[in-house]
Amino acid sequence: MRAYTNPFRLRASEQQRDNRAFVRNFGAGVLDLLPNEIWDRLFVIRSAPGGGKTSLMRVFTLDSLMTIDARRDDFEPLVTRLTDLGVLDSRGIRTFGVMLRLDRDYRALVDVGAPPEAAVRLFFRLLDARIMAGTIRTALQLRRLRYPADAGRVRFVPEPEGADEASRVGEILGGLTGSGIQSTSHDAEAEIIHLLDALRPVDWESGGSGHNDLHALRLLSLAEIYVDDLPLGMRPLVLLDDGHELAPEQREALLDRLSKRDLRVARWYSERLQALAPSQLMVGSAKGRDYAVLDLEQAARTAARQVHGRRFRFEKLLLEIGNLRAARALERAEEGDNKFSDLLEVDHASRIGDRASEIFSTLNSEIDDIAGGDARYSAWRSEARAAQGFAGAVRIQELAILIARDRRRPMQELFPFALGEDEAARLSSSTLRDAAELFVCNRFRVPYYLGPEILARLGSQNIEQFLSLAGDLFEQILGLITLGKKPDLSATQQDRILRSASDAFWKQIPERVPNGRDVQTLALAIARLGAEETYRPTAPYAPGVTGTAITMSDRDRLLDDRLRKAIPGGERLYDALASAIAFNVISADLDVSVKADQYMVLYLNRLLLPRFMLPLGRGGFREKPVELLAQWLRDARTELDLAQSPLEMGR
Amino acid sequence: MRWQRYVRGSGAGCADLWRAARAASAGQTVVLGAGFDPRTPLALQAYLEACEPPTQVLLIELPEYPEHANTSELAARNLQRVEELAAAASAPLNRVRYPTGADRRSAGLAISRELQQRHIPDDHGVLVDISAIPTHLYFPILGGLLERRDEIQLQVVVAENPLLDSVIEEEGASDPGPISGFAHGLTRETGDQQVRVWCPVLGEGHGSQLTQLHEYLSPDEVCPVLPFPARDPRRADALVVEHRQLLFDTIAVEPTNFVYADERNPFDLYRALTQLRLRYADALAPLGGALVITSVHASKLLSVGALMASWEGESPVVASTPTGYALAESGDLAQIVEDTTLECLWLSGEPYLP
Repeated sequence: MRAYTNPFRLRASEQQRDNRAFVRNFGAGVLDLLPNEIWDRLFVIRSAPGGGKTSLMRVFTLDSLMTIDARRDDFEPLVTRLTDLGVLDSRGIRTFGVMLRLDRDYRALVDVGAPPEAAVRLFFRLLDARIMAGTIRTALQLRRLRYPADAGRVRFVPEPEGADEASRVGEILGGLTGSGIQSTSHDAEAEIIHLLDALRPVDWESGGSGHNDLHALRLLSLAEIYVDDLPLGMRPLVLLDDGHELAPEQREALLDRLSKRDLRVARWYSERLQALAPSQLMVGSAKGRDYAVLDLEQAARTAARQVHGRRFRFEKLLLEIGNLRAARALERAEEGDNKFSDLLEVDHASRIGDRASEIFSTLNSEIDDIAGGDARYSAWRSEARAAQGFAGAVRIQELAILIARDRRRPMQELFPFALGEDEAARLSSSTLRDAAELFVCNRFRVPYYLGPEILARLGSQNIEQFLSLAGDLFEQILGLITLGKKPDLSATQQDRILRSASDAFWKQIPERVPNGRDVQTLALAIARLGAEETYRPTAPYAPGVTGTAITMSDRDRLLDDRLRKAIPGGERLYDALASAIAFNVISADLDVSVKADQYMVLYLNRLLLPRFMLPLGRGGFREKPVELLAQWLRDARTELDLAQSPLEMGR
Repeated sequence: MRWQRYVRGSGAGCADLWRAARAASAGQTVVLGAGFDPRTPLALQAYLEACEPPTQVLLIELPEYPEHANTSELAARNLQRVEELAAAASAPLNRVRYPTGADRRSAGLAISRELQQRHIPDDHGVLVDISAIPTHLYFPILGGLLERRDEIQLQVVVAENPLLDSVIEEEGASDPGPISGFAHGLTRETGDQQVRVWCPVLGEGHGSQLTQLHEYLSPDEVCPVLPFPARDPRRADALVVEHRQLLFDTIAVEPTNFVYADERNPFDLYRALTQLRLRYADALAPLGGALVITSVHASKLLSVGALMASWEGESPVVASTPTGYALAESGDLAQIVEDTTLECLWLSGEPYLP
């Protein structure tokens, strides 16, 4: 029996070593989200974990660019966009990224016993060492030379107008030759790492005096890179990833240096989005003038926009990525030309299977009960009796909701007239139909979570989430192929797999997320609220409610240390909410206007919604006072409840 | 290999080791953690019943988790019990404060350095009870004490209870990185880059931590360690099934890469990891050598074997440090604790003199 590999299981780290796999699976459409001002000022990228900020930066590293440049025909969408950005041209690579992760060692420098200013100077010294070493390494790689053995073949040649300043900073960094700088950087790193890692007591001053500025950026702004006495002819791009891992004072000092407009080297910085942090990125700097920001999830959720003539939809992009990933595996395994998304399409008529008569009987008798013999609804009841198939069941449910709404209308006519098809069409809507479908599926346990669009919506929190779900579905497809069967997944199979994934995501929360149990309690409370509102007979918030909201002024109270203490349970709520947002259990939209007020809206991660049988739309939320959210935590349900119960609603 | 021959004791045999170390020392320090783990006072109690009172008892204060009422109560009860035991034996009880710092991972190194600077005299016997001390703390504590191997009689005791281990849950383990004091160049970026070989010592659970560590390290080779022999002869199979998706779908581990170590003998794990490190160093010498990186997801007893191998070989140990711990609802805790066995390892001093 032949064994097949699941391409969705080749995760980030595997791709870290295989550039071709990474580039092949990278959705080029993400580059359409980049604003125009990314080269001449600080560019900040923010997203939730798994949101793609690291992958976005990685496309600009030399390894990725060399892979793309060597096989331009294979990567046409990427080549087009990178050419538009000035990263590639007909001669080859024009910009090369030097990527550093800020989760390595820096934060621990705050704890070495040095005074705060000295700790920041040590931080800059270490960062300077790594930026310069990374730049020299990359320059050598461009010329297919070895690092560190060939470092002496690199020189930094100051441009005429900045020669004095370049020489001054060069002296601090070890000179203007690659070997001098590499040696100084190596020693600096060794000294500082010894400070951080020695098991015996050490004196923080053994780490050296530190740097009062990021001299590496200054040198890269003032000097051109030469290898073997020839100019490299490319501009460096410094990529600093995971800035949220820094201590607050380090982050502030770094962003202050990065935002200086007299720096000419391109520099990008990424950090995790934190909806419970002061919304201003940098005090004293002006967004737009000193820095540009891209919030990846926000940009992805925004309605389709026209960028360079291309329409962009995140969910469409996800399906594109899925089809790309699966293409080779399906070719090899199936020898057909089915796309992955095609294999998820189902015949909706088959969803109710052989239970049609039971379902129709129940629904029709309910309509009769709600209508109460009123002739006003006779046309609708006749339509209901004639309905067939899954679509018919949904239609009947829809009519039941409309009748329930009509029965509660405040103004009753003196001479009520019969409601006809036109009236039903006028009162109906796509959201109402979605709600009706959810009601039918929930009540009669008909498969609901299925099809490529649902997969994309479930995974739309971020790409990692989508890949994980797609991997679960593809596992089943591979199983069918291995057994020599048609690889179409039935509605029941897809629904079961996606609900299991939802359950697994829920169960992992305590293990994965700080304050995990409180996060679960908060999520459960939001889900319960959502279920109560969603499944009301009149479906007032069709297709349903999946979130809650607090006012922006309540958010401000939570952010203020003093005011937070005055809220009973405020600290605990703050910790739980911050964790929930940081780890993608809940997403937060800020400054959402409703009537006269502004809200922070908190939505459950869509992957949790199957567990609670809630719809996948993003519209509905119910605003609550912050005190009530804190109360939810204090009234926490038992661990047994958290572990066991999907909510039983409408059953 | 420093511990090619070794000294260990189990159950009642621990007392013999303690008395021997006491006889070879000018004084005795017992170090333990003040946490919620019900095993906290057990080793101290056994020590005081078997030996003359120690010169001092050092109590390392551990963070509290007020959102879990049951752990707070247990921690308070344990502290009271430890204080009673020390008072009854007239042993001075000194506290080592838990450091507050920006980086949670630095706490262990800060405690280790403080212990060495202020609390552990030369020529002392030092018995470290790691039963209630989290991994990211006892690794640097023991590592720091091993640096003083020529000056002290160092012993480690752990109260083994697999069932109790299974009801203590780690929370918020999502911050992968080297354990402080055991980075050993893992995070260097200015030098040549070596081949990375990751050896996770597998245990039940920890699936998401293993995934995070794999993504963090991006290793060139993975050699998972399975417990065999083990009390349950199928335990290794069960672990492979549990971690199947990560091992075979995501990482594509070669079946020949699996390493086996006795579940109950940390010195066996020490030997296995040391031999593996030496083999890779030898084979990859022309390519600049290899960095063998360990992570531990099994029992504390076994993890000491990984500690020894890493300390001696100066090879990194990584972990996803949890932000908290909780005790799952588990029935009669007192009954579960009864099934605890003390295991003692003698790591430096008298038995290892040339």
